[in-house]
Amino acid sequence: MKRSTTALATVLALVGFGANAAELRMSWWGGDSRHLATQEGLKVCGEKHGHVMKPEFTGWSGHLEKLSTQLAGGTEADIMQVNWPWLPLFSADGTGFADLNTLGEIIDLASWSDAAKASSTLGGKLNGLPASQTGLIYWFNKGTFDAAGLAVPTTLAELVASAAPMKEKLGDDHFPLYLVGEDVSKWMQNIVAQNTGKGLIDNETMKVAPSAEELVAAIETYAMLVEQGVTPAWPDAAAAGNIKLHENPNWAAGKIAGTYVWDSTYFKYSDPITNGELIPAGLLAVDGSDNDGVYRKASMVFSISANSENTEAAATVLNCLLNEPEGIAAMATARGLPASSVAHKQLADNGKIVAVQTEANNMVLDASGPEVSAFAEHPEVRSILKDTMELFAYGEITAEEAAGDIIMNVNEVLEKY
Amino acid sequence: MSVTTPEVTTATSGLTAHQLREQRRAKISATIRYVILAAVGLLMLYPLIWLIGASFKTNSEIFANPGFIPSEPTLDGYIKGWQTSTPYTFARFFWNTFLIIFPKVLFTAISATMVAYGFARFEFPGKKILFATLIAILLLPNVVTRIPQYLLFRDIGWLDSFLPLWVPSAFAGDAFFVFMLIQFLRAVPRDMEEAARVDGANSFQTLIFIVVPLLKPAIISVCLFQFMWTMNDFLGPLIYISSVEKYPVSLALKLSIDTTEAFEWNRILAMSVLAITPALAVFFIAQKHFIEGISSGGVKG
Repeated sequence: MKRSTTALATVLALVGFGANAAELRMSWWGGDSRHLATQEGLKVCGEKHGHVMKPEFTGWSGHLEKLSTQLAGGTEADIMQVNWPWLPLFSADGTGFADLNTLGEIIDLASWSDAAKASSTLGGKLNGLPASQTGLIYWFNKGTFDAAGLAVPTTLAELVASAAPMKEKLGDDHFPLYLVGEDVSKWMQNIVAQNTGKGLIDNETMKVAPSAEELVAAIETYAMLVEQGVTPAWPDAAAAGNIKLHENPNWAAGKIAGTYVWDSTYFKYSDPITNGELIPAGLLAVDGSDNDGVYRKASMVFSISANSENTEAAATVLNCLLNEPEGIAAMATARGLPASSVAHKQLADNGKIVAVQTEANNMVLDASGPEVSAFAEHPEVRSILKDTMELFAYGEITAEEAAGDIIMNVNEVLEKY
Repeated sequence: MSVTTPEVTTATSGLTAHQLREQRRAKISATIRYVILAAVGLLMLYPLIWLIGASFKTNSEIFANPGFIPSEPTLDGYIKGWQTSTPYTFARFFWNTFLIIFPKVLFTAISATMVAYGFARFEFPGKKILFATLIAILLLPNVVTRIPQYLLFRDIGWLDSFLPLWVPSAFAGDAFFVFMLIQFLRAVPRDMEEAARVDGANSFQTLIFIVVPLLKPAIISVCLFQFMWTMNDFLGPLIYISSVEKYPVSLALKLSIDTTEAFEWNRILAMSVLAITPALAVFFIAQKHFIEGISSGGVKG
């Protein structure tokens, strides 16, 4: 046994793997399927390159706290799964994580598109490799639209027009869309982007980009949706217990026929449906818009610790997980459709990707729109948008007041950076 | 309790109309009382009953069927949940929790008693300032000391071990328990301790042979609280422990809960049922002393 290990080590050394056997830690969050897939990936990649991998994983809740403490104490894992919006929190100037551009000889960076790499580059340093690119699109339950004798909407006007006939035919508890909670603020950004070609936050000036009038227009569009019965009103949804859509019996029964969510969450929403079939519908155009206003981001990135003693070994393993056949097969789609083109091709060739996932992901990747600032995902910015829209939905403030509040409060948060 | 006296009950046949009426009224009022108590009790226990019922449901039934009786009971949640998505079973996580709880409860009881004894019975320079510090710690939210503590334990080299989780307790780090014991000691008369002193006992002997037996109910409460809080503590282990093999139950329960992925609620519920079992068992075992302590404390006061 001992001899064979030694022999193996010798062989590995002779073959010329750059780094010596190192003990590496990798941390991530996720659910059961991601845990199993990533542990498997680490096992095969660790064995392939002769490193000992120590997985460290948790559920979602508390992971930000854990990572913050570890980064503050300099004890973070060598390879980390980092949420894309956290990058500016930990590495505003790009020095918080290792610059992957310097590891270009080990990691095949050509697998990622320039846009993907740009989204995780801070201060000219590549801080992370996107695991997948994800974006918000409309999903509709085709069965419900068929039952109502309606075509699946392709523009916002058609969506609005579908509400009345659907209710008439199937009952007042039917809605063509479910837009409640934080989805409202994300959806509004799509309307603003389509109307004006502006993202919510301008990274150059670090200010809210749209003017108050432009925000008011989008907020009023939301009010119109509620008024026309396109979506349940926020207070009503809250009164019903704020049930998550995928756990909502009305969703399973097809009474709620649409949603505006991340393309990567397809199975979460399609699995519970017992009546009908969920299909991706891309982005619905607003009259007169010249772009799709897509809200697209790297769902999460893999970063290497700036304090790691084995940066090169970590890079070898990371490349294996994302770009080498063994790693790709093990990791599969546990983090959505891989952003690495090599991985995407391998999984597609082996039939590991369901057609509808590719279709939805392509809708996101092909859609046009202004660049989404990472600060749009800043926890404080998100809560400002959500809270303000909630006040508006409850009739506590007018659309003008809401727009003013959003601009003032978001600018205040941005001033700190 | 009963309105009837032995003389009356022996002569059942000779009951007057008035007594019969009294008896009936007592029965009706008892029935009403028990019905109300049972209903409210059931209402309070409902979430717990639902938890146990739902742990035997399939994942899809949990959201479809609001009742607590599963239509097709299955042990799937328990079997799959016990296996977990890690290389370890849940037994490992229970063992880890025990490895944290056991020293923590033990040393909390010892250290908090000694410190409380010092504060309650002795005069020493700086006592007021030290006591004020203790109260200040009590008022300070735990969270604010996390990062400095983390840095301290990092420098000592205790990260990813159980030590940061229980060692502070071994030095009476839980101000609340010290405060609680001090308050309890203040209500205990000093006569017996003085008698022990006259008999030649030193401070330590007085503590062990006189104060601790008197304090027993309070110490048991301290142990119970510490047990429950440690069992439920999430943030502490989350921050200090990074290896999966050292995770306690509180972390393991949340291991599979992610935002982008629908998860198997029945496994989580099944493991939650198992996780509350030790706490319930310990409480029932300690209940006798717990209740005894409260009532005897009242008599002494």
